[in-house]
Amino acid sequence: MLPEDKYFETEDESKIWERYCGFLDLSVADFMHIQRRLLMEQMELVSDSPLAREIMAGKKPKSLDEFRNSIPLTTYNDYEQYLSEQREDVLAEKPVFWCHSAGRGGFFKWMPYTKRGSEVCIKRVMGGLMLAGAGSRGEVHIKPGMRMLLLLAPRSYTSGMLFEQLSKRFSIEFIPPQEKAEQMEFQERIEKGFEMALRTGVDGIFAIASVLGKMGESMAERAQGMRFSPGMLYPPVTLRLLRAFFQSVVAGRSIYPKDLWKAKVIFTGGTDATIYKDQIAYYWGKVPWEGYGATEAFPIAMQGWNKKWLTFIPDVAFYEFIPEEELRREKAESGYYPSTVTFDEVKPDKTYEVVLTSFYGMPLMRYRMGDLVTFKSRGDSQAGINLPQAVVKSRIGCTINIGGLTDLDEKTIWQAIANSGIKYEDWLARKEYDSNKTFLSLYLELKGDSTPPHIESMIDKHLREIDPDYRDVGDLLSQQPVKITLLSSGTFQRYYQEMQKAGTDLAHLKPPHMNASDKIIERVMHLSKVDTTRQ
Amino acid sequence: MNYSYLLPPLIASGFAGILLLVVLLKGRRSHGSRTFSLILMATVLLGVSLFAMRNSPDVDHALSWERVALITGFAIFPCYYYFATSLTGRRINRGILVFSLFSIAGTAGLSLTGLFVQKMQVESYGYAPTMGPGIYFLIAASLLFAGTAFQQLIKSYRNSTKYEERNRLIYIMLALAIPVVGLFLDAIPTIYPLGIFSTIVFCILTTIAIIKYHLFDIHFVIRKGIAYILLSGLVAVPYVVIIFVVSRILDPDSVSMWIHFAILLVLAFTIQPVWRRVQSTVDRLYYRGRYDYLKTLENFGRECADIINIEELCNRLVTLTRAAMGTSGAYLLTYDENKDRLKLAAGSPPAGADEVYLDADSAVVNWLKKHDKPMDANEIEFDRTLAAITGRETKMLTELKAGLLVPFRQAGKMVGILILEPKLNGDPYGADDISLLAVVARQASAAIDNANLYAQALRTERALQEKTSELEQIIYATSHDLKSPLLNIQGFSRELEESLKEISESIQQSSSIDPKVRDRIAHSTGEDIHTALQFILASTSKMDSLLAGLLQLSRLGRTPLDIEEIDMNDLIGSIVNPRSYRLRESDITISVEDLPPCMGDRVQLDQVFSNLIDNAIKFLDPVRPGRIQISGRRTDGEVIYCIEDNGIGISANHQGKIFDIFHQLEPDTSIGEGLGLAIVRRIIERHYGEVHVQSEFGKGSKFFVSLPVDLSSNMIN
Repeated sequence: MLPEDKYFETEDESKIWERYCGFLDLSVADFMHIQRRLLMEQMELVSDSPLAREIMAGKKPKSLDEFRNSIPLTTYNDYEQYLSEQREDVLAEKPVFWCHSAGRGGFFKWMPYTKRGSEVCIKRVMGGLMLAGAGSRGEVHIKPGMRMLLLLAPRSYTSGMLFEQLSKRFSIEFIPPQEKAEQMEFQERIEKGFEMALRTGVDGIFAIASVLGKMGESMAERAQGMRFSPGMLYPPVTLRLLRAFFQSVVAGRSIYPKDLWKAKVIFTGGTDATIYKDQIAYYWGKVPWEGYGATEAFPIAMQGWNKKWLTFIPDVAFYEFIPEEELRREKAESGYYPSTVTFDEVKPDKTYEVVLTSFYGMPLMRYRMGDLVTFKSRGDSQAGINLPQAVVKSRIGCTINIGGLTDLDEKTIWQAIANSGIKYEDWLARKEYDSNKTFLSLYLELKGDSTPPHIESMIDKHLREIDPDYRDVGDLLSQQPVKITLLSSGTFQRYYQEMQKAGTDLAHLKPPHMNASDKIIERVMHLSKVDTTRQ
Repeated sequence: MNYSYLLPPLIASGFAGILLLVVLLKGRRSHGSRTFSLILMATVLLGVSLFAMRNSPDVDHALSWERVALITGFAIFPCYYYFATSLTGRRINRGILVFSLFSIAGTAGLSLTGLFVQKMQVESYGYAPTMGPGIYFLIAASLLFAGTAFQQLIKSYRNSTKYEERNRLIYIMLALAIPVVGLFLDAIPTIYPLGIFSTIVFCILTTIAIIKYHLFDIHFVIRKGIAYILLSGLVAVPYVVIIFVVSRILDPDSVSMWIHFAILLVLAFTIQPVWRRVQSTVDRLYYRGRYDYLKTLENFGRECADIINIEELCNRLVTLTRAAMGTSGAYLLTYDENKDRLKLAAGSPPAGADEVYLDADSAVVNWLKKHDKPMDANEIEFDRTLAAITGRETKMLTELKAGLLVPFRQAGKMVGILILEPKLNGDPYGADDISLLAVVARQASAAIDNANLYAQALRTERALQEKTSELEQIIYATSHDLKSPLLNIQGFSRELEESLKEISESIQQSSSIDPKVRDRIAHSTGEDIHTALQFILASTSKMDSLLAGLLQLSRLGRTPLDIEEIDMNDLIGSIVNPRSYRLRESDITISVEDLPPCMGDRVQLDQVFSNLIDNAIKFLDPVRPGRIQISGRRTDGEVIYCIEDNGIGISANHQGKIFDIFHQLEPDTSIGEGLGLAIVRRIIERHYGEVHVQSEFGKGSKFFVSLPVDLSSNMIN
């Protein structure tokens, strides 16, 4: 029996809930006690390791104040020479595995996980699974042996490694199985996964939100022209299809994924998760649950059962937050060293950069995540949570500043496109100049043949609705600060194939949405001109 | 109408109906309660159909209802399986699911034929079915469902570490077994149908077990049951024997009602004491472990009350608790003020003391403080606040194989934590253990706190002793070193005086000096210088006495005492006799009663009583004849001596200070340095005794000296 299975065998639901999701019931004081105790333990664990000695300049803080006053803020650059080479000799504890980020910044960030670090991480992922499936407090819809459709990156990527670790501690059947999936291309893996899921059914889905949203949409479209295939004669598939068919007929629409599978859990991540939330719920029949995590620490925060706001997890890392004002001052004043606040000092409606210190002998110290979070409230009365509630705003540097008045982030632009109702394949955005005026340049590939009129005005309207600062820019400059370049059909697919042929890593197959380089934009424009049928 | 035949199905049906409502309205909403509701629903239907069958006008009607009863009765078994599955949190076997659906549907369809019930016949108690060949299939299928359910319950029972949960599972297994037996007996037409009664029992037992897990202790039922069976045996056997003997001796027909009545009367008188005896015997057998616990508790209370050595107390506690709880190990952590942590004070078996500690701010300590009850070590896996537990603490608790952590609290402070390994017999710690440990914790907390206070007092005393010793050293060194310059001053002053005398004589004899000048010199040397020298000598003499007194006082603390039995009559005689001439001259009467002996250092006690007697003489009132009386008596544990005088007495405001060093009643007129009574007190304190005074100003004083009778050199040195 796997370690986590035994709790499901012997304990009742309330105990299981307490084990995995009990942290949601902590008070701020209890939360801080956990943070302080584990931080002090971390100081003991790592202070003699070569890497920590270098970062801490030989100091060994004995209190939280001493820690905050004597240890400098760090970035990945401070660790890169050791971590990128996976140097275990500089660490305090031998890791059980290494994993790396998606590498959007142009390089992979490698991170070692110790045994305890990994165990706590898995315990919290289990909590996420439970919350993703719960419709109310204390509901447990997961159990050993559940089948999960896995639409995530393969091993050595953080998500792949963590789900492999999960399967070592909890009986879970991945569809398709991880070993087989890793032999396939991403597209092939998705197709194989759905094919298997038709036969076996699924209890839940682990997926990148955008992939799941798009899959729902494309399955609904493909279902209209569905043709007979011999695989449909397999009895479970036949039954599933018949049931889905009847449900869709009753609803008066084509077959949606929710007609085929009744997923108890939809576990998503990524900055775009919020944008795809409604789309996923519409096609998959279940509101997706989001977590906030990164290679450096996973998971950092997660939504409660009501899938509203994020609650930070107390035993994954020690958290500090740099207030937005401090970040502005740091940017304006060269050499300014920003101050931080702890979790019990954050204020509602304020935005902060997340700074974390690893626990359990892992290496990061006062590490700047580069992620901005906004605290929305001191708690969530609906979910009965008495801890500050947050949303992820954006990544620092992944914004486009227009006229010095607004910083548009990926989520805002994505939301505006989605709200406009335009059917699109993908997009890119960056700041461009026209004589002496700056504007938001959006490269958009539409879906289907028709081109809706006044696209720029539509996007502009929705950007104004979402971001008041953007509205001020428009009013002040008396211009529409967004310009759109339509790309020909299949541009992104061609880019994807070109990158694939060139042997590019999975993380770089798609161009970045925000601030793509001139080289990428030139390449995309070139590929767009290859097929000029819709220009 | 035969009510005893007709009513049971209705009772069962009504019972199940009421319980169904209770479960649906009051029960915890869970899959388990829903599947249990299915069983109750099937039981309601079974009761109704059996009532209809039994109340049928003819065998044809009875046959129809019997078939309905058969379907509902059979449907209960798959429901048992689902109930057990959901209760134990296991997955429903798909094969069994399909089989159950098909078999219920098949039974419903085929029951119309004679495959299961061929016909109905009339037995002495009412209608009874004649079973067809298909009944064997139903029995086999029912056994499959019931067997699988039992298997799951037994597996859960084995996996469970919780006493209450195991108890509940036993309850449910027992409840399931009764109707299984009962319903199978129903298939035998020659036996009165018992199935419906067993169903009632099942309903009651399981509903109680589900709604209130702790309502009944199954062991309590067994315990009472054994007592009743034994009592029945004790009552029935003599009853049968007496009747048998009487009927053998007399004509059986002549065993009248009166004989039965007489026997019952005798039994009625004897049954109460017999019942008590039987129950007591069963309890003794059944609660053997608990009797041991109580014994342990009694021992612990008695032993620990007198232990003031913290180390001994902790060792005793872990040894006793380990034995009482039947664990392989017990460890006691006590609070260390210096390091602000709870560290290992005793372990059985011993453990490495350096690694075994919990910080006062540890998550475990906080949990125990907050909940103020023993903590199951498994709680670490569940409680949200215990996420703060560090790797070192987890490792330590794992290495100690901690099963239960018991807080020891005294006046809101955490004075200790008792860590117990799991029980050797594998049983989890139950409510009885927890109650016992709570009592032990209360007693031990107080004992540890007392022992800590005692240890602290000892430490303070030791520190004080060290300081006193240091002070005595300083006094000794100072007094000793001052002696030589003082002797020089005294010596040279005398020499000066001699020289001055010679100078005065020479000047007086010289005729060459002007008489006026000679008178002036004579005045200076004979009066001024001489007086000054007298002052110097008097002062040095007083200083010398003071230094001698101080030296004596400092020596008191450092001189080892030679404790022996002292004949006090002899000792007081040796003090009084040398003073007898002086006493007679001063018209002082001194009377000495027969004094009990005491234990002490002869030389030092001689000093004590010499000082007291000299003081009595010194402070006699010159206006009346002096009278001094010395008496003594032995009380429980001590000997008390009294030196009483009719002297000037001591005013009330002086009585509290007379034993202080350098204190004098009349500093201007008194002879001495105010050290005599200070020396007395110091010596008596070294003897673990006491000295005090009762006095009335103008009338006289009584000095009481009490000394312990069991004094020995070891105690003091």
